[in-house]
Amino acid sequence: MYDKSVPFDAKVKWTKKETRDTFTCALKINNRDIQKAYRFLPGQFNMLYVPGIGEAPISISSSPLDHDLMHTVRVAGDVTTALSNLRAGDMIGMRGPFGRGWPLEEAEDLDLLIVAGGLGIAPLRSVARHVLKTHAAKKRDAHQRRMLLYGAKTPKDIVFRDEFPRYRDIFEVFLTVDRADPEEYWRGEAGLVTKLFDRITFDPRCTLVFVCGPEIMMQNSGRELILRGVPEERIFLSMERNMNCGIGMCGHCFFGPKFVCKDGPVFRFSEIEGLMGIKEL
Amino acid sequence: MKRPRIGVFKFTSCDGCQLSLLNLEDELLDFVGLFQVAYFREATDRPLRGHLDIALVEGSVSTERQRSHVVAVRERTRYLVTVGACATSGGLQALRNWADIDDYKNAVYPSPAIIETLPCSTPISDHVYVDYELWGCPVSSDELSETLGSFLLDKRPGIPGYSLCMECKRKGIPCLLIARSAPCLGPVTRAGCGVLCPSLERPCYGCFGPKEGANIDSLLNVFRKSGLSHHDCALLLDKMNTSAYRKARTREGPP
Amino acid sequence: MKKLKKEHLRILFGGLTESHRVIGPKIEGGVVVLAEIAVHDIPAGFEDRQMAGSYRLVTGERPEIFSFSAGPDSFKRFLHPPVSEMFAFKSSRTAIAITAPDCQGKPLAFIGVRACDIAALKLYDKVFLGGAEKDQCYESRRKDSLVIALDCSYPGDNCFCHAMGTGPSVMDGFDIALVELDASFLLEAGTIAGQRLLDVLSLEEVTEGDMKERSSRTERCLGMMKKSIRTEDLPGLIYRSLDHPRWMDIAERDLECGNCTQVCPTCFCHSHYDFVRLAGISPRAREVSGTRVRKWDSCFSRNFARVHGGNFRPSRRARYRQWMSHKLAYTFEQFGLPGCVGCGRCITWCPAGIDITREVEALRDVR
Repeated sequence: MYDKSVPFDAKVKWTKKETRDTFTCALKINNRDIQKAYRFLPGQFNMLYVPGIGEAPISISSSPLDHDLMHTVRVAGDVTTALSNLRAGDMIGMRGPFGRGWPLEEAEDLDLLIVAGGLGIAPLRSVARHVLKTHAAKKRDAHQRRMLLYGAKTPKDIVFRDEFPRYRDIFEVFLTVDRADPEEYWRGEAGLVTKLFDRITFDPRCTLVFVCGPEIMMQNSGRELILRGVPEERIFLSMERNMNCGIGMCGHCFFGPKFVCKDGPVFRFSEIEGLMGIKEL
Repeated sequence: MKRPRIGVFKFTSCDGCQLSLLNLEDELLDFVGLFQVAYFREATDRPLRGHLDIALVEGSVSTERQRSHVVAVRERTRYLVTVGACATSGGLQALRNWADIDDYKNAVYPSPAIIETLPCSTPISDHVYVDYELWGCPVSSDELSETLGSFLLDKRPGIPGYSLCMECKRKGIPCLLIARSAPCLGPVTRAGCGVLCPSLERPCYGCFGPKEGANIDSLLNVFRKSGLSHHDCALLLDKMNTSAYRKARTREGPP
Repeated sequence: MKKLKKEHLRILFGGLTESHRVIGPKIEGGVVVLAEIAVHDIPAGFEDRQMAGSYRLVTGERPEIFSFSAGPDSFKRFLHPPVSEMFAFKSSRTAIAITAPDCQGKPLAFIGVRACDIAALKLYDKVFLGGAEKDQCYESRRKDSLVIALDCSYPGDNCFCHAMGTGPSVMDGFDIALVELDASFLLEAGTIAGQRLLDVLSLEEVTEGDMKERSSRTERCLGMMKKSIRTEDLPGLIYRSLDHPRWMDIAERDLECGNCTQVCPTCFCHSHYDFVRLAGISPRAREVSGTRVRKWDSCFSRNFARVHGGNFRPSRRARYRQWMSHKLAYTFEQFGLPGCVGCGRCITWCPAGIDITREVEALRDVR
């Protein structure tokens, strides 16, 4: 294995602007040995490093079965701004993968409900693409349902908008926006993503749920789904915190007693529900 | 790629912070290699022309003319950085903000009538938008260099807002406050000076100004318990960052 | 267990200094700090008077060499240095070169490590070596280091190790354990490395009288300990008290200066930065070189839990709560160990004199 506390170099293969403030970049690990040893699960993240500027934890937005290793980034601070200026051929540093991913093995026999808010779609896109790819390989199980609910601020803020038609092949996809400009063409829903729970019928006893988005949205989704009868052990959330080391040593990512970097970022709702109600934990 | 144009300006101040720039010494050649010094009275008599990418502004605003001058500097500048206590918090001269300016004038000058001055000495940020503030009396050369480097790298300078105690403990300096009951302002003062005073066994007198979220009243309670009067305590804060410490005491929001 | 005449302590020292940097207590600025020392640096006979927010060293009447208690420093300054280089980098648009530092120095020997600090060292080992990823510099420093532990003859005025179950007697986690008696030291080797050091000393057999003296000293030390924490269901208490009004009361006094975290032997939080000097920047070639640096940080720093778009702990109340909850509750879940070892440093070195033992009592009060 390789040392995950020291960045290795990764070459930018291509970049793509997704929305006004998000973009995707595909990276290729330079070192062959590391490239071979590098394995990730949907839901894990990498620390992307721009020398001289710093590091940022970024979810992997591609599937392990994809040819390219993709990261989808929102331009927010210095590092993400520097990342947004990258062009194909540029070299950056990378460490990872870190953390606990989505429990895809639990999805084998269950229906899958994906709930995403904003850029929370990034680690869930990894799941969606994974399901899409593995589904093609497997014989279709007619009884297994897959649903994808996604809420964004406005139609313009929907990340991966071009990909949803493909997901519709095996997912029931519902999109919603907080507000739609009447000038814009929008035939989806308007309102919070939790509103979409009314639009779908699903059997709460055999549905596995993956949620990623703003903390309040995840908390509300979790509670709403429990009310609808989903067992809290079958609801998974991906948390966000400040991260420096990614390996449980620096203390920045504490969420109560949890290290979000290594115990998470994906948590079972039952593990953290008690902590979520506490302000400023 | 063209070198960014830098200007160094002075308002009411002692010039010490500009000298910190010249004190970069082993980085000075790098500095002039990386920046085009477009205006810097301490170093060159080149007149000011054209726009600036970065302006380092020293000194507080204490006359009417300075007020319009700082607006003019802002208008031609992309990034305006205040350097030092005067520009960032009003400086020592802001002590007059709590007194009568005419009393001062009459006490100091033989012909007070010819003195043109505003009743208050104010930080640059009271007049124009400031992109970044460097504290200290004078500023630290290291922080100055970090700020200039960050400008070139297009990032926020990595300058901490935490207490001097953090830096002091990292250096392993025996605590003057705990071991000698010295009235050290370290716990409420910004790190950044390199622990100059405590490492020479002198308590911090706050030349880097209040740290983020300074709990000044709690520290003054400690000083009062060790025998300092209210007046002594007030004097501790009434130095080159008097405005900032006073503001921090009133602004201090919910804990 | 064997016995060494007190005057022969310097022989043990002599053996150590050949191969190790001996880190031990020494007076600096009126405070017992840890530094590289010679045997005569040990402030024999000095006593410390500690209160919440106060420390004074006095020449006392005590006959022992180790007559003082722990100062602000602990092993962490040496195993997890306050500022350290993680790597040097040189990067251009198309290539990045990274050079790891050499953290292998002369091995460290810590002399006079108290039981509380050994408990803290166990937690440190879990943090930096216990996970899937190891801190390589910590590992190389730690694996060659020697721990020469010491039973406390006297507690510090803010100590409460007995309540936390960590002291005052050293139980394990040492290479050599020392117990200071009137005329001699009792020595016990805990590892082969420790045994090797003992092998070259002229040691005496331990008598029954010595053992009696030892236990009466431990009793005396326990009897002198003034502070305590009721530890029954301590994590539970904290988890139940996360909304307790006491946190607000603490926040009124809390200076959030971070001193408690810097002196705490279990606090391990740190931050990473890129440090670039002007000479390292070449905009024309799009090259930048510098070092990535790791510095002690603290959950009291305002930006410690900040992400772009918000701060997870914007209030002082929440930051203090985070620290104390981590010490008294979270570490049990994280590492199965107490995060507070009862050394009392945070009480002594808090300028506002906030006393963790009293705050726990206050939390126990029903609202």
